[in-house]
Amino acid sequence: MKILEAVKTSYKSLKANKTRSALTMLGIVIGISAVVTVVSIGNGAQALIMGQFASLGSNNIFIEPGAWSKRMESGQGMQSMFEEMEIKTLKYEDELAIEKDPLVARAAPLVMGVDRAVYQGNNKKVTFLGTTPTIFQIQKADIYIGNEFTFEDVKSMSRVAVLGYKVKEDLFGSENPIGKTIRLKNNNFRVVGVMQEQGMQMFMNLDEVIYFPVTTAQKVLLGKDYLNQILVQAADENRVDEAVESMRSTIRERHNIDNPEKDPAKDDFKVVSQKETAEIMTTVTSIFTLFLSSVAAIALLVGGIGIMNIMLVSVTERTREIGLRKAVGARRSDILKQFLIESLMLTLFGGVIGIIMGIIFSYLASVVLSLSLSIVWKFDLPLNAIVTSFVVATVIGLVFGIYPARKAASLNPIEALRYE
Amino acid sequence: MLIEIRDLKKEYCNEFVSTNVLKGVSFDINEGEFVAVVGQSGCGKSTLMHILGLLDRPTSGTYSFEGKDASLMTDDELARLRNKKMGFVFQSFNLLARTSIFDNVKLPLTYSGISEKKGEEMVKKALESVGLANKIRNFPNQLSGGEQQRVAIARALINHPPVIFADEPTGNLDSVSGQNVLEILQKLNEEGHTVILVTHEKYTAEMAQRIIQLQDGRIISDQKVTDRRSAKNGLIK
Repeated sequence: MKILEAVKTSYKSLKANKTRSALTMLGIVIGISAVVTVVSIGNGAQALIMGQFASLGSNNIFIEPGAWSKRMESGQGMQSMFEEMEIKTLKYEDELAIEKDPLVARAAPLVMGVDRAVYQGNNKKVTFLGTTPTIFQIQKADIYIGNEFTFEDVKSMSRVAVLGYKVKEDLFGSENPIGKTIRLKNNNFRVVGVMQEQGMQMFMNLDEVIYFPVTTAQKVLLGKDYLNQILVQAADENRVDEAVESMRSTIRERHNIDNPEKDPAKDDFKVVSQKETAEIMTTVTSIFTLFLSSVAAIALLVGGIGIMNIMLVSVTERTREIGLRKAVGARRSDILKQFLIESLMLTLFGGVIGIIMGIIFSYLASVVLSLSLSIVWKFDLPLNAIVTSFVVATVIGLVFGIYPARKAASLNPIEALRYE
Repeated sequence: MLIEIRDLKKEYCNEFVSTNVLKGVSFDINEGEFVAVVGQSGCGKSTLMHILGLLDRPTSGTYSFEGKDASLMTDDELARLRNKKMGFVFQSFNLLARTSIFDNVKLPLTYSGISEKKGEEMVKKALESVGLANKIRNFPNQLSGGEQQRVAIARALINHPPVIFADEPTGNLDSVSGQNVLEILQKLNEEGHTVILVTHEKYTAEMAQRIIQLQDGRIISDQKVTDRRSAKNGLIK
């Protein structure tokens, strides 16, 4: 029997059992679309992370309170990030000392909080950043109207604020906000400037942020004297590692930490370059993607077993048909071919539908994520996942089809014909 | 000689008992003969037909088909002979459900490598010869029993096989349909096909030229029919 004939025969018999074929395929459809979607979203997340880091330039270094922990690398970074918000070891004075390091181009302290900002009848939940004017250089942000606050404001703890673009839009609309007063935590602040639209940077939507002098934010808004982070830009992109080491010694000295072996686990702070952070984040998302893909792969396996199950039922149910086919001249190999092609067709059809649905799902996911997180989530067509799932579908079709097919082929024609 | 069997035996075994279904059967069948194999149920006539039709192998004895020893053939060779040289008509029609009449009749061609276009012609001709050309697009469940059996005959003769085996072809049919089927078999024989008919009805058997009677796995008589019936005229009960 020619292959084309066999394909036609298989197609006809699948068509004769439409519901059953469709349900069998469903297992494969779900499995493959899950794999494609998960991998696509994982790739998208990775692209987003890389993009966020790239937007800053490669000479960035972050200093955070709390000791370096293995947990950072093992994917529990988020949890430790929240715990660190309450570690009090990092001070504004540390930042001032670091700034003097010749390996450092510039540095900015950072305290953060979330609250509701009010202007007359309007209010908006915002992230507020306590920092110095250097932040605008680090974030490469330009003023839209008005002025940045100054180092004078930092020194004198002025109650001034610079608004992110969206904050201005939501609170003031078309009104000019310069010189107006907004309220935050029952304190009044005078708006001195509005930043241009900046979008996402380091996972923070800078358009929804209000900048305050770091001293004002610490004393007036948060009532604390420590920092959440110091942002540093190394003077020389090629000497980032040197800068990291140099800053470590500076802070150790300031914190009176005796750590001659330079073990980061003994410090009460950590200095991480952007490259390292990016690597950690990439590892975390890779692990996550891998984990979810294995769950999806199990779904695929179950789908494959479903196919074997149905093919076995089909062989039993069609014993007489097999007997008849043999009586009119089908060879073992013809029957084997027919049943193998049937299960292959089920998995390949299922695979193609699954891939199409996976692409649709991941596209929808990218749209939903972009809208709900107000970020640019790039839709990623996961070619490798598509090719892999196609191969997997074929292998499943062959592996789970071969047993039922052999069973069918080895039937004795006369016993098969007599089968009731 | 088309078919030559010598001392054919068939024994069915399961774990507990073995049953001797054929206990040494020998005869020859020439090309163009119309042979009826008769006997009571359980006498081994169906088993004999399955062995002659290369669907089953004997336990011992020799069977040569067109001068070649069947016991020396591989399964694939047997399949090829069934495809090219034999046609089967079964008591229960054995048409594929949910498959069109066209595809049912075409089934043997699927395994003989005949081109689509030529195959279509052959299917039409075969259906015409059994008077069902108009049912080509129908499905088995839309046809009467007699019509289904005629479709089965069309399927059996699509490859122009020299031999046609019919195993109780009228067993599931009313007398009119049965007569119709037998008429076709007789016509096929007149056109040169060797027809081997298994039946338990004496009056059906009398349409053949020769009757082999089996009892308990042995031949008890093998004789020419002197008063051969014609399906067309006789046989209406």
